[in-house]
Amino acid sequence: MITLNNIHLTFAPNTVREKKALADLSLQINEGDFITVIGSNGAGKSTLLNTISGEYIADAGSILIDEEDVTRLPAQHRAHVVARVFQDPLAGTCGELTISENLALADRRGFRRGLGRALNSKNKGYYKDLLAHLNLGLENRLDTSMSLLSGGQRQAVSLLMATMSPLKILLLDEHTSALDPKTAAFVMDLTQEVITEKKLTALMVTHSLHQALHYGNRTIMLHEGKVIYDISGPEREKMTIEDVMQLFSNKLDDDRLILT
Amino acid sequence: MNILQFTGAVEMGLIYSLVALGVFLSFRVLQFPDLTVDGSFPLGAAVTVSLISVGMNPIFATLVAFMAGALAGLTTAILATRFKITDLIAGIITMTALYSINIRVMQGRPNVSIINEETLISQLKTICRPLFDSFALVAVLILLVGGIVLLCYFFLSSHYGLALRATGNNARMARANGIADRRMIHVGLALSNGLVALGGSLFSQESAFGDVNSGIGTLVAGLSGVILGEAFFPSSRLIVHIIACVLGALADRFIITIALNMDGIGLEPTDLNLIRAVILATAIILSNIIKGIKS
Repeated sequence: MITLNNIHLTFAPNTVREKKALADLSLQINEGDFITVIGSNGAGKSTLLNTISGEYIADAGSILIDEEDVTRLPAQHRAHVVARVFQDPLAGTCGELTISENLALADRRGFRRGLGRALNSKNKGYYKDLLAHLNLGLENRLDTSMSLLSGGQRQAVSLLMATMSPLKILLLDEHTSALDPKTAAFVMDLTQEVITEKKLTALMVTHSLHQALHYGNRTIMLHEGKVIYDISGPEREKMTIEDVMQLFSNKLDDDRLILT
Repeated sequence: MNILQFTGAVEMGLIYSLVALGVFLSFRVLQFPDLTVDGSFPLGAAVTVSLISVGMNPIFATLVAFMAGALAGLTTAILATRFKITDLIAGIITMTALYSINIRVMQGRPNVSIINEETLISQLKTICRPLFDSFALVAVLILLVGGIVLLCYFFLSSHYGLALRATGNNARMARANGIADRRMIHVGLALSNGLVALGGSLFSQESAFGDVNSGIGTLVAGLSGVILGEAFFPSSRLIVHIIACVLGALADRFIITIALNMDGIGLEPTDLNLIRAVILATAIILSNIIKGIKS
């Protein structure tokens, strides 16, 4: 279980550009939850993910991952429990390394890296099997440079890499938004498949309301750095895209009231 | 080019191939443009000649030179990571400080001669002379550089080396996979400058002379080696990349030797750095043109 208690995070504090990205945000993520995260631009969705991963360190509050307090730990020291897939397909992989080298890197997430050979016939065989599951023909291109792959292929491999080593939470930051609709659907199906198969706990930021309602078991809406709606169960089942739009516009109306 | 000039060029090329390998580690693997090398090369020379001139074992002196260079690289790395000084400036700071430090290492003298001392090079030459005659030094250097090439290859293809390459290529991805990217920069720059100082150490033992000004042009020479190597042997395979650095450094040295010995253009030995600069500029321009044609 992952618990976020009263998280505060402000960018450029005490300047004219001061931006309260997360304001007293609390969230409890149960084991096996697949939560979709929605909210308008600047609501704090990506910041939330970056705070859980340790790319940003919270100004106040605490983050517990299965009783382990990770609040002050930088990203590389949380990597044994946190796995990520980025929005940019180029961000999750190393373009200059080969496919198998990339997999070997991810294979060691959370483990010590020694001076033993990173690639041998045994683990290459294992990587070949893993890649074959993607049905992209990549299993025959183990020694191809990652930079030669398309965005969709790279994102599929990123997802594979993120879920290779043990993890407590998978963070997906709009990981299909840079792909064409067909590829996006493919990567999304793959995501659902791996989450179900490995019984993962996941948090997925998305701008697609269809994705937000169609996938996962719980949806949260962020606004001005807070969780303003947290919907699951039958209430969520009944929900349509129009209902969610309604929630969005309610929020905007509130803002307008404050402004006037 | 006569036979003496030929072996001389091969010897110098092999010594500078260590510089090229060091520059390859910083510029290519870590993508950290490190200017420390112009200071760590003469640092290696200064440490070696000082220790040898007070009667230390040459092998010990060479190892200390490597470690001194590693320390210089670590300094630049810490300035850049811990104190957030831009990579270029961090290197310039260390390089500038090293100029004075090198003179201190040589007890206040800008150069020291060890012409009457036994050096690693002279010892090895004596051992190999019966086997290889006048190619003794070339043979020794080929063995040494070959060994270092293999060490570099095995290191960079290990789990640790892979983490180092990932840091240079995509630091965010590296962190997401649990790699301490700052530590990788520390280790990488230490190794890089250690290799360059080793080059400086061998250079001083070959010429039996350590000079504080011998560092000017080190980076340019090393980078020429890397870029010439890439131009002649384009490949995505790591081992080819590493060997190409050595061959690039040899090519660089051959061009210098030919230019210096060409009749009619009147180049003097003091024009060395002008030649180096022209080679590097030409190599980069040509490789840009080749890339332009390909894309």
